[in-house]
Amino acid sequence: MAQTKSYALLGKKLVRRAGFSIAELVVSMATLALVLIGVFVLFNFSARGFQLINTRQDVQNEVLKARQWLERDFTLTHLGSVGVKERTVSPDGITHSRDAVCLLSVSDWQQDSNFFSLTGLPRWNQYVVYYATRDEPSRLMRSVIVPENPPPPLKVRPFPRMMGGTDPENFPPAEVIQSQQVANNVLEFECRLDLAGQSLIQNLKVRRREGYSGMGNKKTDEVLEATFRWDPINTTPKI
Amino acid sequence: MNRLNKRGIALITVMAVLVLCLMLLGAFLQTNRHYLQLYKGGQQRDAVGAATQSAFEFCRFELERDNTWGLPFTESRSFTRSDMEVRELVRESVGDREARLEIVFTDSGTIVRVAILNNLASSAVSPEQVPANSCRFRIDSELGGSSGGAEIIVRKMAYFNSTAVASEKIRIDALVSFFDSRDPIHNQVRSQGDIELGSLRNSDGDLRFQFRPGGDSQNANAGTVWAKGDISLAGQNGQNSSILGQAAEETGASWIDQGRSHSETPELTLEDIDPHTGDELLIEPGSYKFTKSLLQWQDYSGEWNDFPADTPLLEHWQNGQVHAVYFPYENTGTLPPERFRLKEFPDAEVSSSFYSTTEFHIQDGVKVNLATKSISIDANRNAKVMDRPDVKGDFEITTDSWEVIPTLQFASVTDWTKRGSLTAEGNIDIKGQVYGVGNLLAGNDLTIAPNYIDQDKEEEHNSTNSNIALYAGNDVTIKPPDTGTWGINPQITFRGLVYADRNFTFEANETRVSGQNLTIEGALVARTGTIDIRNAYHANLIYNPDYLTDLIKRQEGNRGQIEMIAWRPR
Repeated sequence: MAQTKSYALLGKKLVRRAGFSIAELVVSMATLALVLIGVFVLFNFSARGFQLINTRQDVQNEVLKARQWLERDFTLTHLGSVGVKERTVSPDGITHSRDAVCLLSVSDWQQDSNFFSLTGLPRWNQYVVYYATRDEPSRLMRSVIVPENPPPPLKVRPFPRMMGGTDPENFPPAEVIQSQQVANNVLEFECRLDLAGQSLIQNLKVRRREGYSGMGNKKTDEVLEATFRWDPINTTPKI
Repeated sequence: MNRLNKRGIALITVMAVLVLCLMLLGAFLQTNRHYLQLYKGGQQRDAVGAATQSAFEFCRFELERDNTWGLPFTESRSFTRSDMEVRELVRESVGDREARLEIVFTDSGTIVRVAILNNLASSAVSPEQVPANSCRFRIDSELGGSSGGAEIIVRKMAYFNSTAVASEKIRIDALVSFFDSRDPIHNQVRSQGDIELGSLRNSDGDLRFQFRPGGDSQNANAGTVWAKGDISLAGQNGQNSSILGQAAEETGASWIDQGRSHSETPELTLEDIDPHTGDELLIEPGSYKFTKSLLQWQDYSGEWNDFPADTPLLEHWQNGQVHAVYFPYENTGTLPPERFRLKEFPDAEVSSSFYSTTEFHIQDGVKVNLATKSISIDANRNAKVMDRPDVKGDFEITTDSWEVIPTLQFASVTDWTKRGSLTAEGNIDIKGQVYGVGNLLAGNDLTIAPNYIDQDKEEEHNSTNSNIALYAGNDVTIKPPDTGTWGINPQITFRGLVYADRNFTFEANETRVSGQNLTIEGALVARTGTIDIRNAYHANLIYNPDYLTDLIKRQEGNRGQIEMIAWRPR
């Protein structure tokens, strides 16, 4: 293409000045736009992938965190004190378990006064209740209850108040000395006693809905399901 | 000039994109560092937990192999076991009572330090607060940044750990049943079949089942009633009602039906029993009958003369015939007669032994008292019934009159170190009472059927002071006599192991009599059969492991099973 030459007067000198024609401009901008679109699409894809990975890791972190709490409590308790209360919800037309499970525990495992001197057995002095809330998104909660009546040491049996019908979300505040969230975005929390194996089996499902699949606009659920099996080691005498 | 400028722009652009990518990567790694740390920490924590468990199992194995293991090591020693390098450390000072180990797990690199304080042989809490008859393991594990450990209390396991155990049905019909324990841990009634009990409250409104665990308030759980099948209270099945929940609430014990855990009741044979007696003596098998049968003696003219009708006799029967007769005879100075017979069996001459008193030894170690109708085994003697090819190795003490109360008596009344023992390969059948400190060991059936028990006559025959252990290779039966019933306040008490390889039956009078009590302190075992207690007034079942270790032979060396009592994280 022939270069358009233009001349300008710069002071007393005549200087030759180069420029772009409109056609060149349009073409180059169109090309730039195409490149930017490609870059943007690639960036968007990468960003979604990044977000998906983050979501997945968040979900895994939730499960790992929950596992630490559950493992600590359920491996140290007595099997005779574990009681399961089945609860369900159906937010999207599908029934999900949101069970409650109780166990006996000791307030401070390092304190000698929390153990019988003649036998070394734990002086169970509190109940711990895990339950998944019925709201959405559900949370896995851990509540520590010290009942007023009867006072510790507590007999080895499931928490009578919970097994008698009181919902964990309605425990008397005076008896709940501690309540904390162990996991978020819980979809399902199911517990089952395996008396043959002298253990407790738990199924925890965590879900987040912030991911997109591939290039489309379809939102996906990131779900992680974990099954735990706990053998309460302080079951004495063995049942 | 223009070309140079264009190259410069491209470079800058590429560098800008690279910087952007590096920033994104950095952000990604930063975000995931926490996750990676969490994951790695979890892995290390799992390794530490597994190492703690492995170290405990190693120590338990060593302690079971030798119950004296765990005393402070006087010299350092190293050895390898599978994937562990174990180093026994010399005790730090003379007064140090703890043994110390260092274990390195070669595959994971976890280091474990164990401190052992063995208090198994002591019946008192140690100065370090280790419970009596227990051993403490203090385990500390570390790997990388993770550490953990546990403090574990273990103790020797008794041969039987249940107050009452049966592989088939347990049925107890008593006005009140006491399930007690002298052990602070165990107080359980177990059945591999069903358990049938009466209603929760008796006709007087009292709680029918009372659990009194050992250690009093030390144990927050009163006891356990466990059945692999159903538990029913007065016909109410635990599966169909809330009766078991109510029972748990009122008794403080755990009531578990449809149990699925597996447990085996160990078998005992006669050879496993240690009678803990001194010399063995052999006693003739057969039936020893206290009676007043009319005995006749032949004078030198050949005429048969009657003894006085109230002459007490002890007849010894074998194979359906009178083998010998023992009786008192006052020597008037003339030659004693040589031939005797029972008037009811005129054709059979009997071998007779007569004595100048009513109390005499019929053989070494066996004394008869015709006045008190008792056969007594000397203290610290094991009377073993001979097992001959021509005569079954059974032993029976009986009478033919309900007014006569025969007694098998062990000479030692309260001294456990001088107990006696009666052992028979066949049946032992005592139609009378058993008194004193001793063991009845029958290879087949063992039956005790006193024909009359009256607590008011304590000074004559106080069965409440019996410290008797029972073993039967088949059934153990305690019942009223075939003719007659028990009197008032009958007390049947056994202290020691009551073991039936098949069934245990306690059958009192059909009409429940006040004080018609059964007391067993030790353990009650029906290994392959049922436990059936009927019409008892009180059934007192008391678990006492001390009585069990006493009767059962010690295992070779210092071997003994160990059970874990408590696990405390560190």
